[in-house]
Amino acid sequence: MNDFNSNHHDDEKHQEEFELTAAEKKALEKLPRDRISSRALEDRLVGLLRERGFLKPPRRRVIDLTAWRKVAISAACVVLLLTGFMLGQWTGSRRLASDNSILQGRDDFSVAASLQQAGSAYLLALERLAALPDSINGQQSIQGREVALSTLCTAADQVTRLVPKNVLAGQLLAALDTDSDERVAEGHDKVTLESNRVIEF
Amino acid sequence: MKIKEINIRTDRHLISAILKFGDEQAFRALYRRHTPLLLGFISRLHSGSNPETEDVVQETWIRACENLGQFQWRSTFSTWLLGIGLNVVRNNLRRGKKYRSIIENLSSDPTCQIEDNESRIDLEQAIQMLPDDNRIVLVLHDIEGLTHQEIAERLEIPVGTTKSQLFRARRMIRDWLTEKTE
Repeated sequence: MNDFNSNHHDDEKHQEEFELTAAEKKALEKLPRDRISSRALEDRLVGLLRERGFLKPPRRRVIDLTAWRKVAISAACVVLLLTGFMLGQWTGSRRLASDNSILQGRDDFSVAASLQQAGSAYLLALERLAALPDSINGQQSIQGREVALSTLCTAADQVTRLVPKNVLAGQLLAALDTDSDERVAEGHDKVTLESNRVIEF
Repeated sequence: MKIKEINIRTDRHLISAILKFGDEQAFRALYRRHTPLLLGFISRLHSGSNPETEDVVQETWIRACENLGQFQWRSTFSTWLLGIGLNVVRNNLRRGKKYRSIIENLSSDPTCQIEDNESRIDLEQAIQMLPDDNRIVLVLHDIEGLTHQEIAERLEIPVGTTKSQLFRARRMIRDWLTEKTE
């Protein structure tokens, strides 16, 4: 104990004499105070603190839905829905109009095609009628001629309706009417003659 | 002053997040802010190998986290953390004393260490070679800038003892460095 006290007293006595020199102070001040720690140490420590329940794993980001945000999101949904609906309707109407115009074009085309086919068939039938051996006086040929003329007359009539100013169609119709009247008159005379004959008989 | 205040507030915010939510990111931010200083302090006090120093840093942070709720903000967080680090180092040194006593007995005269060591002895190495008690006082006084009164309170020893330990530490370092340069 005495030794300790004497040592201590000796230290205190010398302490005043043992101040650091300016160079020593400067050297001590220059010593770096920081040291870079390793990432491994940080991760290890975080793992330990998690195990002890002190830290929780990073939370997933949760969007805080306040009342205003809810309203804004709902409004945006409604606007989006309406826009989609209107856009759909507009697209649908455009497509319908387009489809109708295509169908209309198709009808016109099919009518023209039908006319073409019918005309060809009509002409072919006339050719065949003319080619028959009894085409001049035969009973069947007469019937065929009447049908052909009747069809031609009806066709001319329709053409006149379609194109009222068509001269050719008008003249044809007039000629056919005249021919028809003459044939009716002839038929009337024939009937009268036959009736006379009957009378005669 | 303003910067200090901002730092204190930020530390408060981080600590609050750690305590309330166990916020890992807040802890990492706090760790990254204060660990370089803590590591430098501990490695100088401990004079051990790098893995040993890291173990002390780890233990310091664990103790700090365990007592975080009791921190009263009478000092800065950094000062509080270094205080915990100092205690951990001292406990570690006490535990390891019986293993190191053989080595200390073999080289009770510090000059022997210099003779044995052929490499250049610089100031940092000289500090590391000091006996534990002397080194701690020297680091706290001459590097960290604490007064004898503050050191005495931290270490729970009389002021006279801190003065004498500082005196011895300075004398040993001067002797080693002078001899080496001669």
